[in-house]
Amino acid sequence: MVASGIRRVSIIDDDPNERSFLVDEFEGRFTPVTWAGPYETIAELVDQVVATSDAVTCDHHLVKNYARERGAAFVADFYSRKFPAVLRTKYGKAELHEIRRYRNRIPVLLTPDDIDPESFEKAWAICEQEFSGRFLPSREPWRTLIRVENVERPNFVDVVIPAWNHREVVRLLIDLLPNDARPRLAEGLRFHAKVNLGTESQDDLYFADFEFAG
Amino acid sequence: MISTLPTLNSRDDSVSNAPSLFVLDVGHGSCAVLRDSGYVVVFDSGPAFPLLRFLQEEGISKIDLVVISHSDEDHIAGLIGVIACDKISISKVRLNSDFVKDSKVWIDLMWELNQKHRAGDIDLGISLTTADSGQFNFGEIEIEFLAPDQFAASTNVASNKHRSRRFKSNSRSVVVRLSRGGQPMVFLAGDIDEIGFNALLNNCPNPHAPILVYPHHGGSSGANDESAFAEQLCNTIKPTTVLFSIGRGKHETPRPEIVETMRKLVPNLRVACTQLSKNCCADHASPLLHLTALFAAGREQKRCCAGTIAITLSSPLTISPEEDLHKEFIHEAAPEGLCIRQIGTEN
Repeated sequence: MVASGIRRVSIIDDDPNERSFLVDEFEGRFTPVTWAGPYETIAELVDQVVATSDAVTCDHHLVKNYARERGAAFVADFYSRKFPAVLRTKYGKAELHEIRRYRNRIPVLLTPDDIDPESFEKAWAICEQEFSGRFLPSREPWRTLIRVENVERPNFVDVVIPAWNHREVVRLLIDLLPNDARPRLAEGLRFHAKVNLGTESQDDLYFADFEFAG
Repeated sequence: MISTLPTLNSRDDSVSNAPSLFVLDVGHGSCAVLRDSGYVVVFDSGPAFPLLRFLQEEGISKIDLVVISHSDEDHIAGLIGVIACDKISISKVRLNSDFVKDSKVWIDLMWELNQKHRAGDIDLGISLTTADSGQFNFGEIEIEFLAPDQFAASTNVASNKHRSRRFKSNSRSVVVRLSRGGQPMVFLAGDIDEIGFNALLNNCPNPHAPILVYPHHGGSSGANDESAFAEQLCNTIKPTTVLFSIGRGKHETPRPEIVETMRKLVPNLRVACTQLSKNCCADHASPLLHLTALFAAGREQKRCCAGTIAITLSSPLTISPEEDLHKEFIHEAAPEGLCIRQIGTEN
């Protein structure tokens, strides 16, 4: 699986050393375009990247004096505009909750161990497939039942997705759920959402299109 | 009479116009899908996601009937996903009236089913007994419910005793036999235990079938003597092929004494497990070249033995994966596998 026609690749990272490292990695295979910041809004940067390149990679942990949003929000925005984007993070599980908010629009999350041109090329190809409605089994969304197992106000709700793994509890940020549903959260509440049931790891689960009956 | 039963042949391809039964590799759990004259019947739904993946890959968007043998999670959880998804419709669901295991997953299933039933989308029935035999013969395959009978279905498993021994939820598991043109072909045992099976024999003294999907995944059934129960199953059902729907590394299935007993009693018995039992080998690196192209839950992690098993319900019966190829894999991956290791023979 190789992305088609990707030549110019934008690198969004607040760390100049990382930008420089990626320029070296991409040299010879892609034409790197770096973005040094700062940026006031997502739209400002996204518009410029889309206009000047074929794909983008973005670090998640961006400092406030570079951009006001985290990288996951940028990548999700690129995805919504059907522009191939790959998120990178070295924080792993520490930023899982924050990233999960956008995970349905982040097809691939790369860690420092995955950083090589082939991985990026495959990741962008996966993006392009999703834009045309073709999902890997691990990424395909399915409308499914979710049961609330436990509520830890004000921040977390623990849920079980029986059609994914009825033995595993998944912790979600409460503010991932719609505003009007939050007061109703209680053990035993059942609702529907779109979830990628085919994934093995709960780290890669995403949730979208919540439906609360009544 | 054993002589009236169809003979077994093996064939490599899994696609046929004849009615077919697929015993799915769902890991630890049970799920079988019957395709017959354009109709689809699902017997138990396994755990979680595998049934949904199988249906998707086979292009099945309409299920005519789902039969749930009992309320164990490894038999019901897969149905929750199928009902909730907006891509597959289900006409009828028939559940065994076994509510004693009122797990959260069971309540999940009932919550989901109730919504669809109230909307008029699913015809839901909360009872299955021997009296329902013949009610759901959509195509060429006759679907017989051999257990539970009305007495077993009405027995309170929480408190009653049955013939001085404990009557459990599994004692009234639904048991199905599939036949074609009056010829028995497959015996789907659910999780029936010794007490339930003896009750079955009262109604059906000759429950013959050449293919037995062994009860309770070949694990502990609660019988006083698992070998004796295996012997009873062999002597009454008279299978020439026994299938175990198992998850590698889960619950130590199938139990060695069960396989050994059956192999001693039935010369040339074909034994096939959906996944490779840890009782056969701890680790292996053998390629899974023998598998059919059908979805199998253990494929990616190399947990499969036979994987998803396809049975063409014709005379002669054919089974994929083909026996020689499957045995070749077992000899390479698990030279001391339960189904091929040397055993002493009786008689």
